[in-house]
Parts: sequence; structure tokens; C-alpha cells
Amino acid sequence: MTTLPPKQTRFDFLPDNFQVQLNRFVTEQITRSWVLTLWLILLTVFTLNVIVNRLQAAPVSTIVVLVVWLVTVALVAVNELRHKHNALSLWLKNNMYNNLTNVQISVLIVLGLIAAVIGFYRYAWVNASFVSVPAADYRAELASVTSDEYCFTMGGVDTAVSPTTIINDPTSRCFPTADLTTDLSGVAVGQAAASFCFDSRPSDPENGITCFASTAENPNFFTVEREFTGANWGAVEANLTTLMIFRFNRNETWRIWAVIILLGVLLVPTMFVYRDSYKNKRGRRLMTILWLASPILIYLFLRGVDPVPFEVDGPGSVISGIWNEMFAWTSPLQELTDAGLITVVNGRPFLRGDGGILSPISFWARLRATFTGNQDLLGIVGLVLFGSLTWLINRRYPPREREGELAIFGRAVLRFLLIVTAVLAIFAVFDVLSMIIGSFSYTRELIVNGQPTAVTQPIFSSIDPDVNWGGFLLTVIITIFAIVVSFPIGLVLALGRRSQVRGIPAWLTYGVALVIAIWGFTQSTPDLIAAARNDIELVLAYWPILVLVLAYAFQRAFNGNVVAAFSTLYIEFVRGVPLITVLFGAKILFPILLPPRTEILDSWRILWAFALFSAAYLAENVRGGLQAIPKGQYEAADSLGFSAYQKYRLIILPQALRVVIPAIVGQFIGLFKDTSLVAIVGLFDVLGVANAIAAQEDWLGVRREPYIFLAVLYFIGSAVMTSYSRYLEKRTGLGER
Amino acid sequence: MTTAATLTQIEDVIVAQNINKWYGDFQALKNVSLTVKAGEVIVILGPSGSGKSTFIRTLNRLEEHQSGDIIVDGITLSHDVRNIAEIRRDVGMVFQQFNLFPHLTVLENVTLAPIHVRKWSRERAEEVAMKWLTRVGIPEQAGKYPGQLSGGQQQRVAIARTLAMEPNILLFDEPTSALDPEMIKEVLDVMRDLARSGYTILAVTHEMGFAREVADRVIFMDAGQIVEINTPEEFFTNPKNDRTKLFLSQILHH
Repeated sequence: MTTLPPKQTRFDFLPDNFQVQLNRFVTEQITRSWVLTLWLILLTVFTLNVIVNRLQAAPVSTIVVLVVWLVTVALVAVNELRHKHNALSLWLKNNMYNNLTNVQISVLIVLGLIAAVIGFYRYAWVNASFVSVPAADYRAELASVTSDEYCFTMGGVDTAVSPTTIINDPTSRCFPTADLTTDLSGVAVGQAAASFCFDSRPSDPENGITCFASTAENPNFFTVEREFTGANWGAVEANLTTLMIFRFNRNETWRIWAVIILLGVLLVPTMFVYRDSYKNKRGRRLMTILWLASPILIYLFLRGVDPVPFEVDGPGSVISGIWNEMFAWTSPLQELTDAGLITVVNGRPFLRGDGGILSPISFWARLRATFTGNQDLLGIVGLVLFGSLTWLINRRYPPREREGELAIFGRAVLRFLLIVTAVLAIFAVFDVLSMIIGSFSYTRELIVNGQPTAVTQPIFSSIDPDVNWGGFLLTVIITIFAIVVSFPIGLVLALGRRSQVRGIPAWLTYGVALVIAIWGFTQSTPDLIAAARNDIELVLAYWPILVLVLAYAFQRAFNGNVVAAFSTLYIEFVRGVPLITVLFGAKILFPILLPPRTEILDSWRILWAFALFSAAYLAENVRGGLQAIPKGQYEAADSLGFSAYQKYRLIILPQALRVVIPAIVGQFIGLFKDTSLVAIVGLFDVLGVANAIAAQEDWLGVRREPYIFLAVLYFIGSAVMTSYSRYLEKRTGLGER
Repeated sequence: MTTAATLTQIEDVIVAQNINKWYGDFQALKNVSLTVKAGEVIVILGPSGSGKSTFIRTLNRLEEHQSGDIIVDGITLSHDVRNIAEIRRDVGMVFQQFNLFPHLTVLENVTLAPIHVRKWSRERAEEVAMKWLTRVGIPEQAGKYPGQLSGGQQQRVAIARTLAMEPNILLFDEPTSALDPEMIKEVLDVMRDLARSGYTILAVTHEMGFAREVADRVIFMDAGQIVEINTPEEFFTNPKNDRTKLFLSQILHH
């Protein structure tokens, strides 16, 4: 018996068991639980509400979206019932229309996105103003008004004027020009109208400037309104340079461009030289040296040097200038000056030619004074001497696998001397360079007080970072400095925390602690108790107990391992303190702790604060990577005879750092954005400048536009770092399974 | 003092006397003493946890022993880092998990230690590396990364890496335990080849065939002690110790 084909009907696309399927659908999707039903009712009401609203606000786009939505939902529904999906309906079903909730959320998201995009487009483009110098521009024209046909809108003296606020300003009034008793140019300063309208500047609706004709009540007056609802990009445009470099001398901006070009020029070969396929070891080494030398040049460009005053006796040294700024506490300047050993010029110590006076000054201070004067010479002579010595010795006695104690010691000493003198020589080259460059000056035509004037100034004239570094420039300087400096410190801290160095034996720790404690109890505590003025001082008098407790803690927690103890305490201390506190400490607390008459620039302190703060977090990230390396890698390296240094450099760190690239880059992006905190300690980063724009007379209260600009700037910066990290991961991920 | 001279002068290349090692309260090695002559091939057998791996790992100070003396190639193992480094240069080790460096190519894996530890030039190191890669049968894989090789190939690279340092003594720590059965043979072939070419070898392994075939002596360890030292012939056919008999009956009739 043959089965008949099913009878053809008009609804043949519906399955036979349609009723059953519909019932199942209702049970599963709607009436499964009362919570679901209630939620769907609420959601539907909300969706309908949104749809009605959007239909009123933007009918065309909403109708298009609704039609597409309904058609696709119907398509998915029908195909679902037929159990026959095509690629589109399957994708829609899996990704957008899984259930009734998602069906509605899909349309809500699309409508929301369209509303946001259209809204932002209207705000940022259609209704926006791109006039960058409104008030000043109009003021200049105001000053030339003589006819009594015109009038202008005027802000009150107390309400500063901005283009966006003037229209609703109740104090705005219109004056006949004849009523003006004061000089118009005088009015213009500080209190005058932001905008007005007259023959020479007719209505300009595109830029939101509308002129109204006189009314019946005020036949002689025009009211002038500047009306636009969108973004006021003029605020960003007018302040673009300020946002970028703040108070950096506008005549010296070529130095910033030079740094950018320098970095660009270095970057291009870098992309090829450090590839695995690049076999030329020398090229790679040259590139590394160039990169290591680049901070000196960048310092020269962005910080500058004073021309070296040759008239002072004794060899001057620029490096002592840096010393003075960064490590002033290491050289007791005043002491040396009082002793007549040095002369201080422009805050830099210069060794005096007749420095051989016998004075009660300490040997070390004399040595230091001599050293700061002659270190350049020392560096260059030393480098040549020890460099050639090393070369000769290595040629005569090449390094061997097994060497005697003396040979190892000798080579170590020579290497140490070579490194020290090389560092000095780098500074010496820097000194000589800046001495040569500093002695050149150049003349250029600048506008001074409105007059073109020929100005002669030294190349790389000194720039005060505290005053002149700001805006995005400061943001970038802090970020790069913190990244570059915190990386090696963080690495050392991470290795230090895991170090297995043989610790100080317990008997020694306890012995020393006991001796100190006994001495303290017998010699110090009684005096302190007698002198105590309050309970706190009384408690502090028993400090020897603290010494014992600390000794015990040191042995219990770290087994006497000083390296691990220091690293761990540093990391945990810094991580326990908010960045803002560290910055306040660097700004306010640190100078108090410095010896008198020593000063370190605010900028240096803040830069180091960021670097040291970042190092602690970096150390923990790196430690995570080190722990991810299997024990077998350490054992394989050990069994092959690598030294500890070789083991980490060649085997462990390349793998560990690769694991933590995402974490480290994430941290650096965070750092990039955290730089805004410097605004609190008185430096102006890009956010600080953006806030300052809103306080400008012309742009009072204009915050949103600079912030949007900042968001884009930060996004680009973060995106660059992210994509570089992805590139690094991909490159170093070679050969990973 | 060349290596050859060392070999002729020092008959006993490894001398271990009364080695004791504790992990906390657990004693992993109990008075273990062993003297190995130059060129000898020794296979160490024993149930898991018997201290066989721990013992050979104390010989190059991957594990620290608490008491007893170890003299390798005439150098007394002490806390002195330079003594440890010297011993490690002379003692090669092959691990159960291969422990190749995954971020380096096969060739770089093999040349890394000769270049940085032996201070050879890159050319010489690469020449020697290719020699050993050829000897273990995989010269064509030199440019690949370890992750692209099979387990057996990886273990052979690990052996080549060890041999490239030109050690006198080879320690094998269960080199075939992590391999698929069909890959075990290729590694064992290499080991047999090495055993016949004069290296002093200490191997911890469960490959009875290998032990019977190439070992000069078989050592049986249990609970941190050496229970029996015997020739392979005697060991497998006529074991003296009861524990050895039990062990052999279990592995031969499972």
C-alpha cells in the first residue's frame, strides 16, 4: 500500500504539528514561570515606549529599523517552525533572536545605537560651531563701530561671556551705541559682548549667529543672538597648541618636533633590526647603543643647557648641573662653597682653580668637589685606558672556560672600572656636546610686542620643566619616563623577591638584635622614660622591644634573606599606598626630608614617584610570569651549567616576560591614564589644561568639547600600546604550541 | 688538564658516600653509597618513590643532600658555586619531560650552552650541534621549534643538547617514561648507541630490555636505600634480595 502525499493547502509552509509547536513555544518562552511572564510584559511595555518615542524623534530611521526587524524576526520564526534554516536565519537565531527577551533587546540596542550616533553627529557636526576666536574677533569689530544704527548684546560685568551662555543670560542687554559713554575698546576688555551683529558681519546661521531685526517695542535696537546647540569646537581649536604643549615656549617648538623626528628615525630601523631574521649582530648592537644614547639627546632638546660660562676658573661641568638637580643631597654645596673649594654659578658647582686651601672640610667632601670638577676628564681618560687594557688582555689571554681565582677577580675589577668610566664618558660626551652646542647661538626674527625683532639666543637654551612642561607633552614624558625607568627596577624587584640567596644566619640576626636591645634598655630607655612628655613618648621609649620583634619577623618570614626581605617590603609598601599619596609625598614630604639648601625640581620628583610606584606593580606582574615557567626549565638550565645570570637572561626571562606582556601593557596603559593625577600636585597635564580652558573668558564653562578631544587622544594612545602589545605577543609567540 | 687526562687519572668518576637527604621529616635517601668507574653503564631500578631520581639529581646538585660526600670527576661537591658549575659542565642530564627551551629553535637549543658556558664561537657550536643532531637522527629538524616536534624527536634533541656540551658522564632520568610506545624505541636506540661509545652512564629507567642489554651493573633501590647491586644477568635471573624478587615478579607478570 502506498502512502499518499500530504494534501496541498494554502499554509503548506506550516508544519503539520503547528498547534503542538505553538503550544510548546508559549510554554517554553512565556509561561514557564510567572517571573518570566512579568519580565516579558515589562520589557514589552518598555520596548513599545521606546519605539513610540523614537518614531516621534526620528521617524524615517526608526521605521526602517522596525521594518527590517519585523521581517527578520518573521523569517527566523518561520524557518524555525519549518526546521529549515538558511545561513542568515541561523546566524540571527543564534546571535540575536534566541528568545523573546533577546528579540526585544536586539531592537532596543539598534535603536539606541542609531539614536546615539545621530545625536552625536548632530551635536558634533551639524549643530556645532567651529569658530575658534569669537570674542576677540567680534571685539575688534566692536571697537570700530561708530554708527548709532547698531547695538550689541552685552554680558554683565560679573557674568563673563561665552558664546553658549549669552543667549539665556538675563543680564544681556541691548544698548544703542549712542548710549555708550565709555570707550568701546575699553568695554571690550573683560566685560564686552561676545557677539553682535552688524553690516560687516551678517547673519551666519551655519555658525549659529543669528541677527534679529528691531522690534515694535524697541524700534532702534537689534538683538543679536548667537545660538547653537551643538559642540563648540572652537574651544579645542583655539587651545590646541596649549593642550599639546601648554607653556612650552612657542619659539622653541622645533625642539619637540626634533624629538619626534629623532624617535621616528630610530623607530624605522628598529622594526627590522630586532627581528629574528636579521642576522647582523653588529647592526643590532649599534641600534641598541643608539637607543641607549637617545635619552641624552631628548634631555638636551626638552630640558636644554645653559651655555657654559668659560670665564669661571676651573673646568666647568654640565653633568654637575644634572647632579645638582637630581641628586643634590649627595653634594653638600654650601659646605664646599663656604670652604672656598667651589664656586656656584647658575646653581652648578665649579671647582675653583686655587682650590688647594687647607680647611676643616672632610676628605670626602674634597674628593667629591674634585670629582665633580674633573669627572669628564676621568671618564674619557679612564675609558680609553681601561678599554685598551681590556682589549690587550683579552687578546693576549682570551677568556677560558676554567680560570684561576686571580684571573676571575682581575677581569671582574677591570669590567667594573670599564663600566664606571664608560658611564662617566657618556656624560663627558654629553658635556662636551652641550658645551659646543651651547656656545652657538642663533638669531631669528620674532614678533616682540607686535614688532618683528631680531632675537639672539643660544641653541638648547635652558627650559624649566616645572613651568614649561605641560599638556600632552607632560603626559607623554611622564608615561615614557615611568615605563623606561620602572621596567629594570621592577625586574630586579621581582627576581629579588624570589631570590634564594643564603640568608643571614639566625644566630647573627638575633645576636645583633640582642646586643642592640640590651644596649637600648640600659642606656637609652631610662633616659627616654624620664624625658617622656606623654604616653606616646613613653611607649616609644621601649623601642628595643621593637628591634627584637623585627629581628624575629625578619628571620621567620624571610629566613634572613635580606634581598627577598627588601624586595617584598618595598613591593608591599608601595602597593599598600595610593598613587595620590605617593605623589603628595614626592611633592610635599620629600623636600622636608632633604638636607637644607638642596633642591630637586618638582618635575623630577613627580617623574621618579611615578616610576618607583609603577615598578612595584610591574614586579608583581613579572613575578607572575616567573612562576608560570615550569621547574624543568630551571633544572635544564642548571644541568647545562648556565650561571644564574645567564639562566635568567637567556632562558627564564624571555619566556616569563612573554607570558606577562598583556598584564604589563595593561599596567602601562593604566599608568598613561593615571598621569592626570599630577594636576593635584600642581603640574598641568593635558587634563589640567582642559579644565583650565573652561575657566578662560572666551570659553567659560566649555568642558565637554575638550573632554571629548581628550577621550580621543587617550584612546589613540592606549590603542597604540595595545596593538604594539599584540604585535609583540605574536612575534615572541613563535614556536609556541 | 684535559678531559682525556682526567679520565685516565681518575678511575672512579663518581664517588658517593653515605648520602642522606630529607624532605622535611621524610628521609628520601638513607646512607646511599656508590662508586662508578669511568665508562661504566649503570641502570637504577626501583618502585616509584624509592629515591632513584633524587639520587642521580643530587649528583649534579639539582637536589641538595644534607650529609655525605659526593666526588664527581675528582671535584668534591660543596656549596661553592664554582665547584657546582664545574661538575655541571662535565655531567649531562636528560629529563623525563625533555625540558627543551620552547622559545628557541632546535639548533639554538643545542648551541646555547656551548656558546655561553663553554665560550665556543657560534660557528664551532653550530658545527658540533649539527654533528650531534645527525647522530641522533634529526638534522633536518634544526630550524624548527620544539613545539613542532613529536615527543621522541624532542627527547632526541634533548640528548643532542646534553651531548653538545661534551660531558663525560650522562644522567638519564626516566627518559622514555613520557613517550608513546612507538617513540620509545627511537630514543632507546640512541641511548644504546651512546652506552657503547664509552660514556659513563647512570640511567633511571623502567626499560628492562635496555638494562639487560647494555648495563654493566644494575642497582635496585627501595625506600631510599640501595637494596641490591648486581650484574644484569644475575639480577634478572637470580636476584638475591626478597624485595627485588617481588619487584621483578610484579613487573614481569603484570
